[in-house]
Amino acid sequence: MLAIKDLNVAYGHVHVLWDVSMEIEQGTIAALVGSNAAGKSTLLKTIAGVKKPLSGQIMLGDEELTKLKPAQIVKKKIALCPEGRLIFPKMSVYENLKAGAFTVSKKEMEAGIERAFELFPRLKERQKQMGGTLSGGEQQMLAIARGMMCSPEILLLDEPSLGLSPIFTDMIFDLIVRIKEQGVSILLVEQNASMALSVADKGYVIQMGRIKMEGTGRELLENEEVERLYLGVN
Amino acid sequence: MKKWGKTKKSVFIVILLLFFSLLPFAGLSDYLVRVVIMLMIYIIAALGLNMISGEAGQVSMGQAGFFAVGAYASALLSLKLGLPVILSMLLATVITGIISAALGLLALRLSGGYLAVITLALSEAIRLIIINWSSLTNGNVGLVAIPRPSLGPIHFQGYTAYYFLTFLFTLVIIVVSKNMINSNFGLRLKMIKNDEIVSLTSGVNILRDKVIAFAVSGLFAGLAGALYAHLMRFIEPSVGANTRSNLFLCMVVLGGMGNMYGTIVAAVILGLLPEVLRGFDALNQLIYGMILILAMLFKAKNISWESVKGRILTCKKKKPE
Repeated sequence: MLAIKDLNVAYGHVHVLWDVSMEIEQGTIAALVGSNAAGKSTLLKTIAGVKKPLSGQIMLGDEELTKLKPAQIVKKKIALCPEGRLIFPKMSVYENLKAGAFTVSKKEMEAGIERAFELFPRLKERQKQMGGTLSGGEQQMLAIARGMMCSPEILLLDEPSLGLSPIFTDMIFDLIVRIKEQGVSILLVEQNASMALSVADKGYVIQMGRIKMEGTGRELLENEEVERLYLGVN
Repeated sequence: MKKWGKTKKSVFIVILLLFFSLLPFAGLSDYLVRVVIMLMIYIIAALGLNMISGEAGQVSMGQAGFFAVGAYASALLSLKLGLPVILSMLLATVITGIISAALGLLALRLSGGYLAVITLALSEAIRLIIINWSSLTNGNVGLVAIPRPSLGPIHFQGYTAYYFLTFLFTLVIIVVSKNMINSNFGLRLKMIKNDEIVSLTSGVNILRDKVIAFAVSGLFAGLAGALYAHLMRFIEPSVGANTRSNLFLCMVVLGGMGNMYGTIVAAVILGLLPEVLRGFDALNQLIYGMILILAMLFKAKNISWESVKGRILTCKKKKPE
């Protein structure tokens, strides 16, 4: 289980996260929804070790991750798929996948690529194609597949539906559920609150860097305030 | 089809090797052989810079500093300690690699414009140390009578023999460079160049890989400098002048920033231009500058064979209006 306790994060003098606490149970999806600049991506970067917190703890079971470097966190089987996909446009699909497998052995890397091609058959067809020539949806698939290359136990997904057509959005969310069914825990950060909460076992609503609400995905979907603020229901 | 492609490539490489092996026997004057040796020295230094600036995207403006370290280290080892020249060259290469790794550890915590300025400053500091440490380096007077190498019964006294020594080192550097670029290390450098956050969260130790690339860059520059010192047999502090750093950087940029073959072609073009323009006397620097500006302006992205071939094919396909 990944547990975040009283996390405070700042960029210089700008305090971004205030006493954030949340838990992600093994093999479940936790969705974090909120508007722009609420601190969602900062939270993921802090878990991944890219941003150091002012205070608070990030615990993986009994082990504290807060002071670990990003490379050490990847070795703990926690992978981040950053916002905006950020694939390597001038590298082939195959090389992009290889880029996610520096912390595993060559044998595990080959098995990982096989797994990725099973999960994303489109990527197998395009394995020699440059990353930058893929469509937006395919690039998102590639970003997730690259994240899966280190055989993560926890996957941090930052806005996976950003800029995608409704068809690709559905496809990506189907994939997220399939990844969860393989036993991977997922922390899903999304602005598309209805989609995120509909697949989530647990949901959190973040506003101005503070967790304002939490509950099961269904509970939050039916919550009037969430409906009004994030689901566009009057 | 793939097999034919590979055969074509092998044939091309064999022809190139034959061409360069026979070149000194084609009736070239000593002057022209020396020009070709200089081109190979430029290629070695530019391929080094391509590793850190082209592959890893970290702009270094101090390559001439390491070139000077290699030149002085090799010259001093052979002159003052009387070491065999080939051993001096190899030791100088390693010394330059170690110095650049140490300086890289300091400088590579910065990036972008800051890194460019700090590498420029480091290179200038190296030049000033060479000037002021006159008890060792002879200051502005420089070092003279630097010996040419010999290996057992083989003496590399004449330009033709020295050509083959430089050619051998150049081949080794090209092969090492190519293998490094195609390895996991090369992949990590490309990742760092593309996006540091993704690299970090993929488990890449960014500082370590940048420092290794910087050390390799310095190592190649050191070897180039050593070859230069024993070719010229005289060196003085301007060996490490910033104009030379700029020249190496132009070779990498014109080559396509991360295109090994492009860098080699650019090194040959930029190395040959001053020789071609020698007849224009006072105007040669002006023409050189203008050609450089035009080359940069018209450079699509790189000058790889693929892009040249692509352009020729596109021109052929165009129907006359």
